[in-house]
Amino acid sequence: MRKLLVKHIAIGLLVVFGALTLTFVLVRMSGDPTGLILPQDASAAQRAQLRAQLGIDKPLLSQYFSYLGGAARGDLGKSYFDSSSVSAVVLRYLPNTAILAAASFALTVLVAVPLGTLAAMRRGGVLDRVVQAVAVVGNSVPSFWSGLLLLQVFAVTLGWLPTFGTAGVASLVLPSVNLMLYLFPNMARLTRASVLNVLPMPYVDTARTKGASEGRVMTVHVLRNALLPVLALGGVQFGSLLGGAVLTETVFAWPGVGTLAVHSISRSDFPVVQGIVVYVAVIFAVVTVLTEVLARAANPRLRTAV
Amino acid sequence: MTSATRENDSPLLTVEQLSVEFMTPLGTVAAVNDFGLSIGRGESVAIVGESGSGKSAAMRAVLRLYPENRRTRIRGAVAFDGVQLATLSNRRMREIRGDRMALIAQDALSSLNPSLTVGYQLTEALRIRKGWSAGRCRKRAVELLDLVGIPSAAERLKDYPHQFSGGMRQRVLIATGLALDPDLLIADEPTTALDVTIQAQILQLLRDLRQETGMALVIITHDMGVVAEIAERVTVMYAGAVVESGGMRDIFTSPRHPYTEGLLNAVPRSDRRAERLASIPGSPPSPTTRPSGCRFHTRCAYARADCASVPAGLEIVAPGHASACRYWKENFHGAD
Repeated sequence: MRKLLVKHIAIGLLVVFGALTLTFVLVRMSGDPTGLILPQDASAAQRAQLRAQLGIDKPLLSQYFSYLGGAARGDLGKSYFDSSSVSAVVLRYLPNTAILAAASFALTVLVAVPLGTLAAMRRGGVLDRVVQAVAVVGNSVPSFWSGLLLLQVFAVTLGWLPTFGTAGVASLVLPSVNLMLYLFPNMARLTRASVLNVLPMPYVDTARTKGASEGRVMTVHVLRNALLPVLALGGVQFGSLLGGAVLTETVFAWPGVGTLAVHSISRSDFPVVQGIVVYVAVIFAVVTVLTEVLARAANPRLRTAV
Repeated sequence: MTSATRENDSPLLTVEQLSVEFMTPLGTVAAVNDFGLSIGRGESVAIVGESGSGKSAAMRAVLRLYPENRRTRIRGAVAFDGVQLATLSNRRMREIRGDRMALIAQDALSSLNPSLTVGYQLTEALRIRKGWSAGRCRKRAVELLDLVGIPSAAERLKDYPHQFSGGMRQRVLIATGLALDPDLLIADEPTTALDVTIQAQILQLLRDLRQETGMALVIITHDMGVVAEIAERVTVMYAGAVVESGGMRDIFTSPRHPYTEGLLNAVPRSDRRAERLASIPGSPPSPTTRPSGCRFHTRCAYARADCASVPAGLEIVAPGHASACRYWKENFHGAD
């Protein structure tokens, strides 16, 4: 177990290092930021001065090492437009993203897992067909469109919920539902397929021969095994939510990491963009390790297989 | 335990005219036809036949393990200890399954839940049915593992099924069936997946358990060697129907059905030297298209012209011995 954890943390660090390097290279390749920051008619001297100020007049390799050194200390530089550090900027937007991620992920699990399970139990029935149809539609509708539709119906026409903002639980409902619509198809379908795989297993009948009720058979014996692959998917989904849901956050003007990313890219605030990429890489590495730990806790066959 | 001491001549389990049909896109599959069986208290009965002959399906139907839906049709009368099982509510049926009848399925690895400890699975029935505490369950689990001969039982309760060897897993599965001291244990091919020495151990174990607990035993097998080891009475099935039933000795020494004879000839014996083992020509008919008349006529060495058209029913050939061969007298005259 500890050996495995060390291995995963090492892989995670490697991923983060790779992300740091890649963003560094991409950002340097994208040209001279002074042209975007300074007005068009700025003099060459002004540009040189800004370059020196930003530290991009030094040789690339020394820039790279001081960048890596800074990253190791948690210092990812300063925003070009805002005097605060990149970490501070990202941290300002992070709580909103975390709240939205937690709410929409919880909603997805609460809706997709029971529906996927019921669809599998009544395979070919009405509910099964409805779930499958919703999954196909959900997979084909882009988030920005479903988001606008939700806004039109529930915020504009019915006036039940606010159109944007972060004021209270009510403002969380529409973005969460929108993200749920996006995540639901994969989770519901995987749950359904996985339950269908487990239902014919002889140990399910063994439980019945012991006199277990159907409810007990489903929860203790079927779902306990069927949800193992769903757990892995959930890890990936939750990780990507924490990385910021760009489309949904934009549509609902939700001030999260996704909105920050769009905003920073549009005004070429490279240090912040870099910082977001690194942050997403770190989040993914952490979520992957946590998912692995959970999978091991849930699946005894993984524990002794190492 | 109770059944052994009870003074009661009525059979523990009677099955009459049981049929199991599955509606599939390829047509109706008649897995079991007009199956009958009677098991006395403490008795041991073997159900023998090739794969697909309906042995397991009949027993699963007895336990009402098939889901009730339009695709499955089950008819017939099953009485356990005088109670018609078909009339019971699902809840009452679960009580019978937990307390009185236990089924040990074919493949021990896939019949144990891979995500739960062996200790938990052993005593799950006790938790559900009797509401026992964790401590009491633990004690009983150790007892059960001891009973089936698993060394250092107490230390193995926290282990998972995949950490046991094949033979040990089979023992664990048997132990789960014994948790509630059932009156009837149904073992479906309990030795098929095991190598020969382990097979002998498991059969010995089942014999010992029967002596200790006085439970009745139904053993489903295709192996006449297993039958000879453990059964008092034998029911032979072919293509979903019973073709012969009788006492173990009668079946082995004077079979009255060509199919039983074929099965016996296919068993290697030390008192007979043969270049090749005899086999029954052909293969069992598919359950969607059963032959007309006597179902065995397509593979029967004694088949006569009208065997293909006249259905064969069980006839009494001797006290407690029945055969579904219409020409048993002619075919087996003076054969003994």
